[in-house]
Formats: sequence, structure tokens, C-alpha cells
Amino acid sequence: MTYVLLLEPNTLLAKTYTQLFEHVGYAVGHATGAQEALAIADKRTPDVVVLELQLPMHSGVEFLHEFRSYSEWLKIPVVVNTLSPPSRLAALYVALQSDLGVTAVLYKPQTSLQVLLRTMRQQLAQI
Amino acid sequence: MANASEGAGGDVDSLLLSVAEQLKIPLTVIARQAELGHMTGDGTLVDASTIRVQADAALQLVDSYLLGIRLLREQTELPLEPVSVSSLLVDVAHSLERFAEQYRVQLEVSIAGKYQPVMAHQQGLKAALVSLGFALVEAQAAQGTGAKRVTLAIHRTPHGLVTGIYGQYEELAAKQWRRALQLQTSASQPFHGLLAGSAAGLFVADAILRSMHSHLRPGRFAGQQGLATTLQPSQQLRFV
Amino acid sequence: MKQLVTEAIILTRIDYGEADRILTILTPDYGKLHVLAKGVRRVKSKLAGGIELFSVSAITFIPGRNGLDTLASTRLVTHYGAIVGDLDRTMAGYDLIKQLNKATEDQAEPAYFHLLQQTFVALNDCTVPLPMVRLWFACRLLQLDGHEPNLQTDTSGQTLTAGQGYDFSFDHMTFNPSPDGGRWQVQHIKFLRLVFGQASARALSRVQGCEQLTAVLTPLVSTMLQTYLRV
Repeated sequence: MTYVLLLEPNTLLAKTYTQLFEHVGYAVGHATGAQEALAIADKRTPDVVVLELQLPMHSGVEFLHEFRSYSEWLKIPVVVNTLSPPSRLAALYVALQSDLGVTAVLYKPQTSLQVLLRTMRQQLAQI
Repeated sequence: MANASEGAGGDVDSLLLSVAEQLKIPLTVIARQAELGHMTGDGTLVDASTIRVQADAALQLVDSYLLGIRLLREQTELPLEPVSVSSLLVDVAHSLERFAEQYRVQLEVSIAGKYQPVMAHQQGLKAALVSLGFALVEAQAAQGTGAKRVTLAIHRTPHGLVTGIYGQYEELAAKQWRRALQLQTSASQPFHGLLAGSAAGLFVADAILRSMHSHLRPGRFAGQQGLATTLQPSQQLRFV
Repeated sequence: MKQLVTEAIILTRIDYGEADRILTILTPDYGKLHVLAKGVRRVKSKLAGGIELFSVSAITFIPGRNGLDTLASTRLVTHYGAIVGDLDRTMAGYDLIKQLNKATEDQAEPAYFHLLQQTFVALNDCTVPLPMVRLWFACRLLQLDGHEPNLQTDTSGQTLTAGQGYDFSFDHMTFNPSPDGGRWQVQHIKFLRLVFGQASARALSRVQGCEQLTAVLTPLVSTMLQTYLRV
């Protein structure tokens, strides 16, 4: 069963995403912050990570920097689904991709559940 | 009279940007909830209550922001009235109740003793505390595992009546709050140690309070940390 | 066993065996070190789990053989938390750490620690424009590596003067009088002197016209960096 690590600080959004993922047969580990996410990944290696960059205490970039420093987590696809506006992300996209292994970047307010799911499936298919 | 535009909260444009960023959250929750039912064909997955409460919270933020802007612009004439802060706090708690429930945060009100009324702009004070409450409830919900509780409290100090909202927050001290006010215009997460995102609710609350010659500042209550404002009981009303 | 104490900024981490990690750190007293952190891949270990980007820690380590020391303890001293409040600054910080790590390869003078620490300070201060932090960092990196351009005289030894337009020679790292106006004027050279001379990036933001000067000079300095440090 595909296991999704969902890093989402807003618990209501997380609930919606979790309901969607469970509906399509995925298992979900949800964390509201970077440290918690590492602990969850440590217990069970995720197949894909869905990540908000704007997190309390630490940013999603910090999480990725730590996450990617572990060899067993180097190849796990990471889908960034963030509130950070596209104008900001465009300038950082290359760095997110090449330095931190981000495989897809989505702008959350304009990303439907359908597009999110499709993107995740595409990433999983490429492993 | 203190200049209500002093401090980061007085910047109308930056407040608008903060609020606009913050509104993405409830609107995204509403959009995705609506889509969930449609996509899965399972109407029971859609929580109509979530949609309603999030819509109400968004509208409240917009209203508080508009009030804040009006108060900032109309600095000289504020309709002051005697306000029972205890009653107001209970009122604020009612406004936050459903929101806190959705975020699985327990809301408590602590009013020990009787307090004199304060001369304040009632609508503004309520809007400020509700804005603050929304932000701190959301912040508490995201603070990892463990029981989540937010307390609305009033207590007397030599400086006046301290009215605030408190919880278990890791990084909420005067230094971080001052930094957040400085970063309001330049950082996407000016108070990331407390909560993700623009923290608009805090800045709107602060802007409204500044127009009343008060402001938010970090404080402690019963082992919890939070943000509070100090209000002066009316000496005239004491003799009424 | 002799234990040494110093401050450190972590540059990279890699796995080592089942439970351990090797950290590459920058210190003010010993330069760049590789230290073995035992058992930190278990999230609950006392050294583990911390997210250490943009931090200075106090560490105790035991000198080892073959260039690999052993980490005994670590304690967070300063976390430059405002950096992570802004995505652009976070990515810039990450990028500058990478650049410094690459520029220093196997060893680094203690001065690199202070450069990185001051870079964190500047990134942490949102009143310092990000492009200025980058320019200052690049100049300091060139300087530490011995590739500071000659900002006083041209290739033939003549003093640089006002009213003259200059072109830049990457081979000689000098400004040379241009027969047809030149790309660079005295205000650019003066600003570069200031950038190379400042111990921190903060002071630069008080210079009039600094943002425009930064924008114009950044490509020049970036090319110097790519040419000589390959970063």
C-alpha cells in the first residue's frame, strides 16, 4: 500500500487531503511540522512526500535539507504543494529541483485534489 | 496622543498583503472540501460545518481588517463606551468556539473576580480579540502532538487589566514578537516560530489595538504563553 | 581521551553505517572538520533529530586518526531563525553554504567560519537586501581564496582615476582604461572597494544607490567566482 508522508501545518486541510488519499487506498502519515515529519518517516519510510514549504518553527526547505541527507530517503519523490505564491517559486524552482530533489511544485490554492493526485501518481510511476 | 500608525501594524498596505495571504487558507479549505465530495462521490466526506466555520472565519478576518483600517485612519474620534471586559471575553469565546472545535483545540475562559468596566471601542476590542483568537487557535493546533488548549483570560496587574489569549507555544517572547512586527512587510512567515504563514490575525489585532492607544505584547498566564493587551479601568465609572 | 571544545556550523551530513553519520563542520579554531556522530540515525539519540541549518552550535569532539574526529556532544548556541521565515533567504542561505563548502574542498581557514556566521547574521536581518548579502559573500569568498581583484591600479600599474571608463580583465583581475567609454565607472569601483573592505554586509545597505550598484556589479563578481573558484 502506498504510504504518503503529508507535511501540512493546517489540520483542516490535512484532514481533507488525508480523506482523499485514504479514499484512493493510500496510507497516510501526517505531520504539522518538520521535526515531527522526520520522526514519522523514521518509523516508516514513505513512498512519496507531499510538502508545504511554509511550516511553523522550520521551513519546508529545512525539512528537505535534513530529509535528503539520509541515503534511504534520497530517491523518494517530493511533491511541494504550497501557499507560497508562484512568482516566488518560479525563481526557486531550479534550486528546489536540483539541490533538494523536489520533483513537482504545485501552488496549493489553485491546485485541485484531482491535479494533486494525478501529480503524485506520475511521481510514483517514475520510481 | 500616541501615533496609531507607529509600529509595523500601522502599515495599511502590508496589513492588506498579510490578510490576503491569510485568506488563502480558509478559502482553500472550503474549495478542497467541496471538491472532495464531488470527486469521491461520497457526500458524507464533506463537512458542511467546516465549510461554514471557515467561511465565517474568513469573513471575520476581512471585517476586522476593514475595521482596523478605518480606526487607523480616523484616529482622533473614537466612540468610546464603558466595556465589561469579562462579558466581552465570554463573547469572544463564543465566536471562537466552533473554530476551535474544528481544530480540536480546547477553549477555556478564565475570569477570576470582578472587574471595573474600561472605556474602549467595544466593536474594535472584540474584533481584535477574535482575530487574535483565530490565529492562536490555528497556531496551537499545529504545535505537534499532545493536548491542545487555549485560554482566554483576564487578570489584574498594577498596570491595569491584562486581557489575552494563551496556549503552549514554544517561541513566543518579546524578542520574537518585536522581530515579527519588523518582518511583517518583508517576510512570508514573519512569525514562523509561532505559526506558519502571514500571521495576519495577529497584525490585524495589533493594528486595531494601536488605534485605541494600546497594543499586543507577549505575556504569561497560568503556565501558558500568549499575547495580551493591557486596558485601563475607568476611574470615572468607579464612582458611578 | 583528550576532548576539544569549539563552535561549529554544520555544512553537510552523510550516512555512515547503520547508525552513524559523518558531519562536515566549519569551526573558528580548527577550520573544516569531519566528525563522526555515533548513533544519530536513531531519532531519539541525544545528538539526533535537530534541524541544524543556519545554526551555530558548541561542540565537544575527540580528535581521531585519518582526519575523522568523533563528536561527543553538541549544544545549540545561536539559531538564525528569521532566515527560515522567508523562502528566498532560506534558499539563498542553503546555496551559500553549498558554495562555501565547494570552495573550501578539504580544508578551510578559520576565517571561513566567521564569513559564514556573518552571512547568517546578514540573512537573518531582513533590512539587508538579499542581493547585497550575496554580493558581499561572493567578494569575501574571493578575498579569502586570494583572488581579490586589484581595485587600486590597472594592469600597467597606473592608479584608477575618476572620469575614466574601464573594462575588466578576468585574466589579470584588474580594471583597464577603455578606449570607448568602458563598462565600469568610478562609482562601481568605489563600491567594490567598500564591499571588499566590509566585515559585514549590513553596512553596505546604508550606501546611497547601493541596490542599483549591487545589481550592476553582481554579474561581474559572479563571473570572477566561477572563473577562479568554480562555484
